[in-house]
Amino acid sequence: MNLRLGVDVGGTFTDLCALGESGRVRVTKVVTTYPDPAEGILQGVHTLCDTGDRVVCTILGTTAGLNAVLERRGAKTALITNAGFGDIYRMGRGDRPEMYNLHYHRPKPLVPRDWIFELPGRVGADADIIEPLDIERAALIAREIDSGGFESVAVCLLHSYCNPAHELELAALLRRYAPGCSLSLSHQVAREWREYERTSTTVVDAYVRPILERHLAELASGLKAAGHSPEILVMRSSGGLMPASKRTLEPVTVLLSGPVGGAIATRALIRELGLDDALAIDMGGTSFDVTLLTGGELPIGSETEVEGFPLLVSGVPVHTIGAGGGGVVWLEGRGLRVGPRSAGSVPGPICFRRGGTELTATDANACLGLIRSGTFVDGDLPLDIEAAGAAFTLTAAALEMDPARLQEGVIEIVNARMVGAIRALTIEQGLDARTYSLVAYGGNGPLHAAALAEELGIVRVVIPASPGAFSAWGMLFSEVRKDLSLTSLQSSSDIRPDDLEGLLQQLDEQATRFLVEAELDPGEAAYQWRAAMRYQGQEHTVEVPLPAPPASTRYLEEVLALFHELHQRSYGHSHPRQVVEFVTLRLSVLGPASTPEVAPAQAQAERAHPKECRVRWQGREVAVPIFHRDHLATGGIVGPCIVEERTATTFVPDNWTLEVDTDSRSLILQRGGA
Amino acid sequence: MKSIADTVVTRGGVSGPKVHATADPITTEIVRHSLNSAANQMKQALIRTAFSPVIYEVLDFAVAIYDRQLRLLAQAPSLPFFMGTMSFCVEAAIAAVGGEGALDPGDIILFNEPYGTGSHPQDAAIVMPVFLEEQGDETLVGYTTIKAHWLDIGAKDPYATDTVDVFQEGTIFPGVKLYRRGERAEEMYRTVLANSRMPREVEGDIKAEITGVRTGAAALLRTIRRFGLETFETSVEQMFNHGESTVRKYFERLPDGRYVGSGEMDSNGVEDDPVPFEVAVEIDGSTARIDYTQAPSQQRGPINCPLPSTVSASRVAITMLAGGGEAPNEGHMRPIEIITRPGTLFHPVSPAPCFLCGWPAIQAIEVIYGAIAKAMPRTVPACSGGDICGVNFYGARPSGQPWTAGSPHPVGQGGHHLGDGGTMMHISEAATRFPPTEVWESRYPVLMEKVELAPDSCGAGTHRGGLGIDFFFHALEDMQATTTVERTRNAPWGLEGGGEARPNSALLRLPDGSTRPIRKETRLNIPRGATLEYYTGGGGGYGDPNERDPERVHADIREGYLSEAHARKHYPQAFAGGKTP
Repeated sequence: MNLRLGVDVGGTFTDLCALGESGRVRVTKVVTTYPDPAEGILQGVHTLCDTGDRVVCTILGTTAGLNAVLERRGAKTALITNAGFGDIYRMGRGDRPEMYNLHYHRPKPLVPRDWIFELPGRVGADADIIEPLDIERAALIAREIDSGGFESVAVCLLHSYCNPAHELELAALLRRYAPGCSLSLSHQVAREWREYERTSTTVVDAYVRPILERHLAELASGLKAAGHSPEILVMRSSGGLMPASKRTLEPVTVLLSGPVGGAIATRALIRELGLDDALAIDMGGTSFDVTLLTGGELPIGSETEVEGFPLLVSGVPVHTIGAGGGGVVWLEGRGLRVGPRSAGSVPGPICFRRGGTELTATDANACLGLIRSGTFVDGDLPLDIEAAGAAFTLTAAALEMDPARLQEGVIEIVNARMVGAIRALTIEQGLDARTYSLVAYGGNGPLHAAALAEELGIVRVVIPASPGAFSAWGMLFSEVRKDLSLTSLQSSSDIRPDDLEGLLQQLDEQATRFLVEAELDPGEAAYQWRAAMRYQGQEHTVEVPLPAPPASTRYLEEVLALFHELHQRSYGHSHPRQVVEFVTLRLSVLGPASTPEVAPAQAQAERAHPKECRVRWQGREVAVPIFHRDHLATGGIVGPCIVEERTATTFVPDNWTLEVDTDSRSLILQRGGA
Repeated sequence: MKSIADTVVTRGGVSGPKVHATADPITTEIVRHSLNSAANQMKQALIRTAFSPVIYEVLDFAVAIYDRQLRLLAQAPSLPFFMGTMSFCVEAAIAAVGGEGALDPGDIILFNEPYGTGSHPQDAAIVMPVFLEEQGDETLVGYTTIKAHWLDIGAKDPYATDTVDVFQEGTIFPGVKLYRRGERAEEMYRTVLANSRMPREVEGDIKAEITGVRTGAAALLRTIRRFGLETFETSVEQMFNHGESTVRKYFERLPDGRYVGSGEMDSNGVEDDPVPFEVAVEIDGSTARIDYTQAPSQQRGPINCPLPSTVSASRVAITMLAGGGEAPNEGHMRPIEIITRPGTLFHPVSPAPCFLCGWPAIQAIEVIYGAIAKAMPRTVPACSGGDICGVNFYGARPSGQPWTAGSPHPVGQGGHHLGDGGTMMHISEAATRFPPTEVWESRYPVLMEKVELAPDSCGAGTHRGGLGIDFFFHALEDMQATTTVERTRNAPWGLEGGGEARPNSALLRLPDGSTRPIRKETRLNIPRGATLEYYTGGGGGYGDPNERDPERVHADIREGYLSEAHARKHYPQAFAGGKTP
């Protein structure tokens, strides 16, 4: 059978979700492998596929790039700038993002100062060459980069957004003298003005590019060797997909791709359930991600940032903190801390017996009885609860406290940090979290969700089917997307209708080239045209959705009228007699949308007599019934109880009730009395 | 405000009517954040639609929301130095039009009288009273306000360091209604624009400010309607009390005592002598008293700092230190008392010139930290470059079109007990940014020659200071500039044995290669082909340089932050036993 495969590579586990032509969904979870995540993915593919199955397309969301940035494990990257401007990357814009912090310091840059090379030659703001590029010096730098063991080069030269000639000249020299290096040119990565923001974006691109290229090449060849199609699409931060060929790869656009799959899946789920506002929370082994969906829609921002470094790429805003099951327990003085550092999958929590020696939140959950050896990952990953318990006893002795109290304390701390992250997106924006539903997934989300909801005053929690693989599942709902832009300052007093059409034509041609490279049928693609426009003198622009060209003779007039109308609507004033500027024209090309048909759940008989186990909950040992999710047909169960399945464990505290939504196969947890 | 003999004591917002009911903590948090969010929406509306880079790139403005008792409800992160002055603007603007009773829904007031705003007339405040309409009743519930830097409002020069009275500093609008019941007052509006060298920009910026205060008013009303006026007011009281207790708890931990810091202005702008001054910080239980009574007499030149600015500088310094990293509200101000003497540098009397009032305020912040360091050096960083190293260029393009553009610049920050200092804007302008070279060069006839960290410009220490920056502006056309480089005569101090850093300086390099030093100058002629070179100061060091980790010294040499010669001189331990980087 032909399968489409969604893969979500997390810091600890890799989740896979396959959808066959029959509509049958299969999921599995494997440990993320380092340094080559492809190994784990291929192992998962092997588990999922029966004889005769063939994966025809793999859709990949990966945190490999993001983790490389967060942990400073990216490629050895050089940066080339104009002479006299090498420090722009270190200064930023001079502001303090934490303005009330007297001791604020900027995050550690990805490129140390001695790996920044400065090159004479200048392009002016009007695109004229003021000073030719110093070719000799450029060649010297290229050779130095080659011999210096650099894997990647970022190039950001002033005004390259309007004239990239110097960047292209330099690129030719780098390809000649440093052929082993991958290359990120600022005018290709983000063709927008503001050198710091563009440099920051280009550096991140360069920093993760070799890692991503390697990762994708290994996966493609592994898939091919196993008889599958090597076609891979990568999830972008914006929720669209990117074909993974070397020519189409735009690493910086996929940086925040991991959590986006879950957000897309959440959108589909809440629409099906008829809910408007939801908080999508994804707690895996390494990180905790929150996305806010208001009115059933996913927000998309035009700029994002990672660790304070601006990125000129669009993306779904996801708030991420280091708080996963692998969050390491440590002491600061006599204070107890958990995370943000994670034990990952290697060495992992102590109870995984993969060499971990530091206690983690997962160890605490195991000791409290909330996850069980023999059923965790269907028994594929046995848990050594005794070893974890012994380590807790030691640490508790150092703190002069009861080990069980310490285990509960660890969970309380992790929960408090996650509550803080949710508050940052809701209450701190003036939104009342109490009116949202919590959609919880990831390997650990369902275990902690009800406790977080209690803390936030949320009364409804939704646990989707196969929560551990929910992000992977979401990958299957997306479509290929390419965002094209062209910065060309044009004023309404000079521009002729032909000029505008000519510029849009350029974008159209680029789109066609992309579709050919991506082997997509242009007839099936959707085009979204926009123009970033403003009044002359303003800086910030309004994004005006444009009707599709080819245009009528009145096209330009229509576009200007649309701008005035939108400005009036957005800001309460418009100036129809003032000169209007076009700054950037944009085209988003979307491949055919995928709406997988899923076969309904197979009804399985409910077990009359669930098993029971003892857990520690709020300072007491209590006996709690345990259900297997496959055997829950209807629900109507009053907490406390535990629901186990391969990819996650759900905990329902007392005062909560459990229902099953049969169509979406979700568990709905309602707080008592709600 | 009350007078004790010849001194004036200014205290933070008094408590409102006693409310006994308590709002639940979650509601209080939502109200607090809703208000902050409303202020942020005002800020976004302003920068999204403003016409001049000084607003949308440099963020030279403040937005704030006040309640009916003129207590600060929320402000968006912007220019900290403006933020503490806004209550004075609102109070004076309301009084000027005839008090609360003269306000109608839809009114918008323009106010830029320097002794009321605490700034030069270019920093014009727009104030909108907000009315809640319920069952036909209109109740005044608060004010939204924006003070933003206009490019020009008719001062003797587009920017000036040598005025001798306020009348040279711009046209004064002493609280006039720009809108009455939502209708624009056309005659006043035309008068404003007729007094500017840059009417197109000023008009665009006024419209952006109007959009901003209206956006804030709508957001404030949404919050009040959502919770009801009573719950809203209770929550606000709780929020103030929380802010107050945060700051009080901080000072309770510090030893009581009176600590004196001293500073110096390079000159008063019209005479070349330095102007030394003292500020005392008195910690008394949970109260911090900032005493400016020993300040010198008001000056002939424009470095006089009107009371609102003095109060603001004190509040910025203290809330940054003791505010727990939160956005301050009125409660945070309550434990702070400011004592001044009329007729002095920090409480001048009109019409003393005050165009450069921000500069003594910046020095005052450093001096307050210097005073606190004497008692508790671990709480504050060593001295920063201590200025914003501002420049304003102006001229006429070949087409005859007048232009003006300005920016502050980052300086090295002092080292502190947690680590090295960075290179950032002065704390008084913490959220402002310097414009990108690509924006400068696209809009103005300037070619940036370099924007580069200056090696060795920091003070040595266990934790060294941040580096200063060299900014070189090359003129492509004839132009003029007003330069406001301050603190050039005194090197930024170190703390706990840390060393001094390079002070700020500037040079004009003429096309023939000759140079001359520049400090505060008005209408400095910069011919085509000349270069204005700014060398912003470094930050002082913290702790004995001999204690610095040799590894970090070597890393600094490798990355080019320090020359080997500088390192050998200040950090011999890094070379002990023939070690080399």
